[in-house]
Amino acid sequence: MYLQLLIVGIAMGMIYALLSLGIVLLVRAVGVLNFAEGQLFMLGAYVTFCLTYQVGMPLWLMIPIAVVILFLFGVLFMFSIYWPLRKSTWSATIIISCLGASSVISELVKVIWGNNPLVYAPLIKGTVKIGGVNLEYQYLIIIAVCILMIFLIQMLFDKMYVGRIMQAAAQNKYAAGLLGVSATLTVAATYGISAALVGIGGWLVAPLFLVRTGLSDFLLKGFAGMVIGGYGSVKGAVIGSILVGIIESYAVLLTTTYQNAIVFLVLIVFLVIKPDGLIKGKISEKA
Amino acid sequence: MTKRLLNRKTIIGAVSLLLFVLLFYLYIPNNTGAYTITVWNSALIYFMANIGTAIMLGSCGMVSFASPAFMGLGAYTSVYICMNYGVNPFITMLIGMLVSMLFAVLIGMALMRLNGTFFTFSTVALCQIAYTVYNGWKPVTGGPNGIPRVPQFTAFGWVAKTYFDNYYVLLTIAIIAFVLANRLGKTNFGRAMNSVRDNELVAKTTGINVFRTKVTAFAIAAGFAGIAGACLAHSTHYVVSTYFTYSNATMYIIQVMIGGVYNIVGVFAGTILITMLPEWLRPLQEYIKLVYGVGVILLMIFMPMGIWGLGSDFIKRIKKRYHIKDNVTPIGVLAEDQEVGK
Repeated sequence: MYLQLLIVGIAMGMIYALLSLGIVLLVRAVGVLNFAEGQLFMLGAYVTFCLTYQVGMPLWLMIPIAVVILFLFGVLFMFSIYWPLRKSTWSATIIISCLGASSVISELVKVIWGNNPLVYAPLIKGTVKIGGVNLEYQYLIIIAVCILMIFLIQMLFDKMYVGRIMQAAAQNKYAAGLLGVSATLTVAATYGISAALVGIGGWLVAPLFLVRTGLSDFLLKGFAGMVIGGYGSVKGAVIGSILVGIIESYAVLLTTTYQNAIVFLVLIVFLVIKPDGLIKGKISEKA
Repeated sequence: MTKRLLNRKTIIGAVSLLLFVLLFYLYIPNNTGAYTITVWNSALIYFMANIGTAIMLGSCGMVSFASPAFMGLGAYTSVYICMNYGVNPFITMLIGMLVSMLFAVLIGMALMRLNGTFFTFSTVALCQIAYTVYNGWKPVTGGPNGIPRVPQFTAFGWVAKTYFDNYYVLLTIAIIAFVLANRLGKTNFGRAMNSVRDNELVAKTTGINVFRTKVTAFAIAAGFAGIAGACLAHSTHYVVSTYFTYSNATMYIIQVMIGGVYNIVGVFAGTILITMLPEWLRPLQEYIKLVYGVGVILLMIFMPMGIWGLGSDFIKRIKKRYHIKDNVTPIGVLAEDQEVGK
């Protein structure tokens, strides 16, 4: 029982980690908290559903195409939501337009795919026995894919030239501009990567939670993980999110009705006793 | 500059307020149907809650999604006391408001450690916790089934039987709230809030306790939300957890932003517009949220100060055109011209 809860908790924590990574990337690059990230997450589930069942693609072809579509959508999102407002001196405008965008994405999805939840069959059906309990394969797939994604993101920013350019632009836009780094391109790429990353998360949870617009609520837990871990820190976001997943999972032992409330209560307790988070980010002042 | 009681601005303000009040007390109830008056009722309730959001957003510069949480707190407190102890709804509404404010002080002291967008996100979390509790605590809140047969407004033997009676009660409370909120902007505290919005560092150096100002503003906003929630429960005779969801919070923010956050009249216009829009655009009923979303994005890009901002820009241009001198700084100029939050 405890082992099962632990694995489920880690798997969900990994999903929250993808979401909070998506948020952190944007916070670092442009200093904007993207409220529509949950809707991008949900969109990932719908896009992969569409490609798998409505277009009928095999898995190996579906994933790259879905990533490209989500990346392009992220770029489109950046040019319609962030770009016109980048010079606005009032930070509330971007938050509000992100809210508008989140409602637009949800409603568009409802118009295209309808109100009813859609069923996405898991990659590997059936359950696996670990320590005497049955566990769905999907949780293990989630853990594996998420570790891979987090590793890739880390590689991108640490080892690859593109990632270094993006990091430079995030640290000092003006200096990066002097060195010939185009702010437009880096910001667009960051939005694209963020959307693709989060969208893959949506694909991963679709078999467990159905393909529905309510998936966007996952964003809040990703945010909780980010705050607990420390603002703007990639490592902190991952650690905090896994912690949130485990807390949420073990909360079942106490109560099922108030499971959500416990997670957010932990968040508020953290805000009171350790407002900087577990790992202090480099740009905590910026937010 | 001498301060006279009967200068031009005061007279114009008083006359327009009087006309406005007459219009709302006499014209609207006599010229609308039984259904439309319920729409007006909900518009007035949303307006009360939105005053709180507008104080947070316009005066203090913080985006807060907490208003449904405090509306629920006000509503459930009022209903619980009213139904279990048989106290007059008007008194329990005030108790509900006070309880909301008390909670807001306690929660605000934790949340105000965060700045900017992180505060905003934590109010979303608060909204979610509150909804979970309202939905789960069945003995008190009735959960998803709600509490039916909530007592109606009564005072000195008079009972609000119809929706029209409710309309008069709500209108009166809304006008009181409007006057209070308007006065608040002209007090020391109101100016302290504005300086916190424009530049926290400067506010600190002039001796303003930034933390306390923010917590107080949060509590005041919660008070307006609490009374609005209580009004909602007593005027619809029903209260259910789905009244207080996060998606309602986004709707309130949109209502505030469309009208213009720097003026309560603008907030009123925005609230009426958004509440009435589904009635006017009946064929588009299914896509109404899509229309809102696109509208909000366009609004933020082209006129972030809302309807009121557009109006005051227009007046400024006319005054410039006809060379009318104006000593008063137009509302909204301060925040637009300065770099906020640097």
